[in-house]
Amino acid sequence: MSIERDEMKELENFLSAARQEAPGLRAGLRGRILADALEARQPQSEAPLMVRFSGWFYGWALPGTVGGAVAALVGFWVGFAAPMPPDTPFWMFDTLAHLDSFMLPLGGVIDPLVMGF
Amino acid sequence: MGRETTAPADQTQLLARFASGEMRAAEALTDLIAPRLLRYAARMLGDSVEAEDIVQETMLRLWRIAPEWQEGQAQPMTWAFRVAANLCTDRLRRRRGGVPEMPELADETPGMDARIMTRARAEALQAALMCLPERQREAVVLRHLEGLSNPEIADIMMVGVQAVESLTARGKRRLAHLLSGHREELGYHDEH
Repeated sequence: MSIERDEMKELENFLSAARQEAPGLRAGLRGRILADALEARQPQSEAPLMVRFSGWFYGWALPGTVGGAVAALVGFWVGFAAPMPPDTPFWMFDTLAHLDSFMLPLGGVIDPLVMGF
Repeated sequence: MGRETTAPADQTQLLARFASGEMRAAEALTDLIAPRLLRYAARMLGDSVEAEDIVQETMLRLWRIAPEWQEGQAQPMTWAFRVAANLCTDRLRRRRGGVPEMPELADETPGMDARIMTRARAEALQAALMCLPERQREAVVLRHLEGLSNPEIADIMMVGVQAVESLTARGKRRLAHLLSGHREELGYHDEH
C-alpha cells in the first residue's frame, strides 16, 4: 500500500514536470488559425456557370436525368399512342376516352386523329 | 491544473460574435482553445508537428460550424476537444507502430539543471503515456494535464462519468508502474 502511495506521489511529480514543459502556441500556428478564420468568415463567391454545372458530367447525374426523361417519354407514348389490345375491356376505353377529352386539349391537341390514332 | 478557464457562456458568445463577423472574437477563442488543444494533441500523438496540424484542422472546423452553432449544443471547447480526439485517433490508426517523439517544449524554466531534470521527467512521462491504451491516455491527459472535470471528459469521450473515473484510475496506476523504474535516474532517490 505504501509502495503504491509512493508511486502515486512520484507520478504527481512527473505530471507536474509535464505541465511545466507543455508546448505553447507558436505565433506561426496562431497566425494560420486566424487566417483560416478570416477565410471562413468571408462569403463564398459564386462559382462560374460552367463550373457549377460541371458536376453534371461526372457520376450518375447525367445518366440518371437522361434515364428519367426517356422513362417519361415512354410513359407518355404508352399513355397516349400505344395501340390497345383487342381484348381491352370497354370500361378502360371509356376511361381513357374521358381522360382524353380534357387532357388532349391541355396539350394543345384539338382532334386526336391528327396525332395518327 | 484548470488553466485558461472561461465560463462556457462566454465561449458560446465569442463564437456567436465571430459568426457575426467580429475577428477579435476569433482571436479570443483561439487564445482560449488552441493552446489546450495543442497540449492535448501533443500528448496524445507524441509529435508536435502533427499536433499543430490537428489544432489547425479542429479550429478550421470550428470556424466553419460557427454560423450554425446552436445555444443548447455542447460548449465550443468540449466540441473542439471531441473533434481533436477523433482526429488524433485517425492519425494513430494510420500511423500504427510509428516511433513517438517528444513534443517540442517551451523553453522558460530558470536554471539549467532544474530545466534538464524537468524536461527529462516530462519526456519519461510522455514515453510512459505512449505505452498506455489510447482511451486511458486520453482520460489521463484530459484529467491530470489539462485539468478538465470528469463530466467534461465524459462529454468529450462520449462515455459515462464512471467510465472516465475507471479509465483515469487504471491509466494512473499503469503510468505509476511504468515510471517507477525511472525514479533513480530522474532524481527521485533523494526525495523520500
